[in-house]
Amino acid sequence: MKKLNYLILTTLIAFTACKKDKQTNQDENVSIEILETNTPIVTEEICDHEENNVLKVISGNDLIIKMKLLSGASLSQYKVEIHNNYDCHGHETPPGLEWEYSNIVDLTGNDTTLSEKITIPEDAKSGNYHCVIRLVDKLGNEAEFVDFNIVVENKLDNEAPIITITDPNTDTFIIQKNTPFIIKGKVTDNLNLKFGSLEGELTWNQEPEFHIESLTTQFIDQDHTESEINHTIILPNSLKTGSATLVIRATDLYNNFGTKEIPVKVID
Amino acid sequence: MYFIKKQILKSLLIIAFIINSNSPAKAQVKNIDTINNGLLETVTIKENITTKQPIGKTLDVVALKREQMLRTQGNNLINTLEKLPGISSIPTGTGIAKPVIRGMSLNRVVVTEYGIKQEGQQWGMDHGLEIDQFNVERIEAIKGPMSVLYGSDGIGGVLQILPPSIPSINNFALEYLGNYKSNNNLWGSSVKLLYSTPKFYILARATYQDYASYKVPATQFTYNNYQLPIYNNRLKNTGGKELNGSLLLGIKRNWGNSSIYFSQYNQEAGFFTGAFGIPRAYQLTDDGQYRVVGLPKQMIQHTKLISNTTYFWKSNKIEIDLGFQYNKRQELSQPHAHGNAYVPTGNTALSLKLLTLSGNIRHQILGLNNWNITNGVQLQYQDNKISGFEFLIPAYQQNQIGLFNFTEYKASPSILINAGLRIDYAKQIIQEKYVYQYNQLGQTIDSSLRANATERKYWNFTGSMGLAWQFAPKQKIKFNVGTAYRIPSIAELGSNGVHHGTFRHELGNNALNPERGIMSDLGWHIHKTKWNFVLTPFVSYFQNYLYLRPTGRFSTLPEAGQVYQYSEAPAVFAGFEWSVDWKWFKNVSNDIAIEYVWNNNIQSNTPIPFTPPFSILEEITWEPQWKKSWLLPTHITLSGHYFAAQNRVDRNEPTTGDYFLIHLSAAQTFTVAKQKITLYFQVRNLTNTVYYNNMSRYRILNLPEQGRNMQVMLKWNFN
Repeated sequence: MKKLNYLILTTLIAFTACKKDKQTNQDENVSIEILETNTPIVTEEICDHEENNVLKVISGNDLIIKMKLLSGASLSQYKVEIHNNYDCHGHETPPGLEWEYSNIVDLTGNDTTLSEKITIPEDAKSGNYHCVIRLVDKLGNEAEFVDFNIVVENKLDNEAPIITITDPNTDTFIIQKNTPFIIKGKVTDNLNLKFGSLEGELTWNQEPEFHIESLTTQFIDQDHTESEINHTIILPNSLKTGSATLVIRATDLYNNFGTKEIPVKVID
Repeated sequence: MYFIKKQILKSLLIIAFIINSNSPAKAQVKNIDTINNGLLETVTIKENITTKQPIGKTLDVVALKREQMLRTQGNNLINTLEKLPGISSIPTGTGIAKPVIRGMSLNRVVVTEYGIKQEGQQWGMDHGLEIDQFNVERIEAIKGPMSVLYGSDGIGGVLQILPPSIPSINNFALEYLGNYKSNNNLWGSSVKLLYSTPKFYILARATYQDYASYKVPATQFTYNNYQLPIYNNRLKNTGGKELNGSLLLGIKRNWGNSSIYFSQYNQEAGFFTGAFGIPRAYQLTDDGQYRVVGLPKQMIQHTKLISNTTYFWKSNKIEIDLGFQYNKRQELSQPHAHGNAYVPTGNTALSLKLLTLSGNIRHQILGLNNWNITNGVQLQYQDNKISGFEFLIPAYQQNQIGLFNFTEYKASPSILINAGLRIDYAKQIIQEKYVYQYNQLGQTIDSSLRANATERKYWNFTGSMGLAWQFAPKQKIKFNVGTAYRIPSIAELGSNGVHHGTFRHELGNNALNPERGIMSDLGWHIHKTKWNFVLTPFVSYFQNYLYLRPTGRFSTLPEAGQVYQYSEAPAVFAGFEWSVDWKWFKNVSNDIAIEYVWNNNIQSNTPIPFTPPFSILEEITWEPQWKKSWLLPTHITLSGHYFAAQNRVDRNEPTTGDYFLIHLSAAQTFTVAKQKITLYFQVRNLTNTVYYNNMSRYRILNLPEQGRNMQVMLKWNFN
């Protein structure tokens, strides 16, 4: 009895120790290899995080990506897509003149090297964009997609709007919660504030921010270079007290943004 | 095939080893009755189930009693039932899970509550079952072809939630359940009130659960070659809340009985922040708000009103079930305008409102010696409305009617034969849908037709046959064969939109034929005094199995990857469940449950996606009896659950490695006067193992599953 037991146990252990290494069909591997880009791939801070797949371009110029596409079965298509990521994918801004790019190209064979030339229109807004390159073969196998952060600087206008605050004009502005206070000033731009916007928030060093809804303004739909700031704000009782920073941000027609920071003290 | 043989051999060895270590001669059986009771409580019930449906006598039925469900309670109803052989789940986090029977899910598994089929957009991979698990007193799973009794969709099997059995006595009872789970800081309470007289009863229940994001034993995950963070081991935004209520009123008379059941299920469940679109590090920063359910999230409300009546007249038994269901499903996320709307209209990406009216009438002829004949009619009317800034499935109306006959014949004391026949008619009307694009001034600049107005009509005949043969004392052989029939769901006909998280553009095909096939299974059942053995192999062949296939073409929709289209292909499903349980020595019993599913798309020679892997569940239970009257038997179970690697995957589906989990559960009941207090304690994933579940909606993001979870529950009963 005992000997039989021992035999069974060892056979069992032998089975379990055996690693099953059956991979899915290796002949159906699809891949994209980026060979060259006409602007170097750099590391930059995007949305407060360090990203190492950044391409910087100036509007009106071309972005050329050279890639090698491979597949075991016959290649079918590749797709290059670029869309804006101005607000870090919060998607709160309505669509306007945002530049979007989408190109699907048919392919043949198993091994192709080609260059994708993306012309960035002159009036493409400044800011961060996401670029995704996908590849699929005729059987439907997908390659691991390639992902880039594209930072566009608008050629026509790369100057940020300037925010001037006339009221409050004290060194540290004391704000009492639940009591209305007025912020006065103006936003001026070298070119155009049309379709731009004004936003504000309170930040406490590393603590989460508080978005001030009453400051959010879309600038008028006409060409203009100056916009008035005259907003009444009430901060809710639930807010933290203490030293904070009031951050006001304005964007112009080409999404260049300027900020103004005002040190404040929030009290009950 | 080599892989299957290896697994079977492994299981045989495990069993041989355990049997060998404990020869029956050593077992000390002092009090047979007590031990027998203990055994029935811990093992899955096999022989003596009286299912509501006559078909249960030949098909394989597995069930869990309420006490068993409470002892090994999972995150939700399906998660609790998963330990049963042949039952699996497709989870999305902890709040959402879909039932899987023998590898089949979505519209191939029917869930009924009090006789009415649950309708909640089951075609969706991340659409969970909208049932409060605290409210389930009796549930059974019937595996195999059920098309004759349930019509379209009854292919994989049925999960039947049965009404509680309320004794015809004067009684007032209260039950309070309070629980806490450490892994996702879940707090829950469920209160039940029962008042009954011999002729009337009223049962009311309310449940509330609140949970935070769940913890995993990892601080990062890899997606598309990027390392992404998991701060504080919490998967961001995976918390949720649930609030449910139900009321059951019933009367018992000489002529039969009737009841009315009302239930309301409400759930708010967060999706992992990185699950929609490409996950990026800056989205996953820790905000410490583990309980806040932010975007993206699902909000579900399911309202039900069901009436059940059983009427006896001479030698006829007539059963009537009527049901009203309203299912409202919303998916909320940050709007992606993409020129579709000038001003994003709130955060409702998708809103589906489904109204279903059902009616079943069954007539059974009683008093025939060796015959049992049932005839039935089933009707269903459905209306679906859609809204939201995204489009996935169209609005539609669907009507179905089915007529069936099910006959049982006891050919001899040891042979039972049954056969069923059914005819179905169904009509679907799909409304067309244009999606408009606007410019910044709110003017329409373009429109695209996303759904064609379609009308489909179907006629079908289905049949099944079953045999149960007791060829030796305490041994039975069961055999079943039946045709499988399923009309294509509206999602399969008219989907046309991007499924976030998979980037797939899911496209329907309004010319799809109904799914047809033939299914069969065998059962070898041995039920002895001290041990039970059940082996149930099955095999099914589908002429045209419907599921999403990659087309090899990209979608022109923004942020969309490849187009996946619903297509037909011949497919085979095969597998088995094998469970053995026996008493070791005084108060200790052992249970092993093994399950395996193998499938293949014959045309492309690829496996079907989301197939459960081979698994072995081994449980040792100790139930010491005490001499004190206020101390009921204790239940302590140590279980080991092994899941083999799943390398049989579809194109673009990742393979998943094998894993072994250890769980521990203990329960103790104290009786004080008319009160009973039970304490339940559980530790799941005792070793805090890092593992991946190939069936999980989050598998494609390489997110590990829950870490160690300690659960405590207090149940207070007053009678």
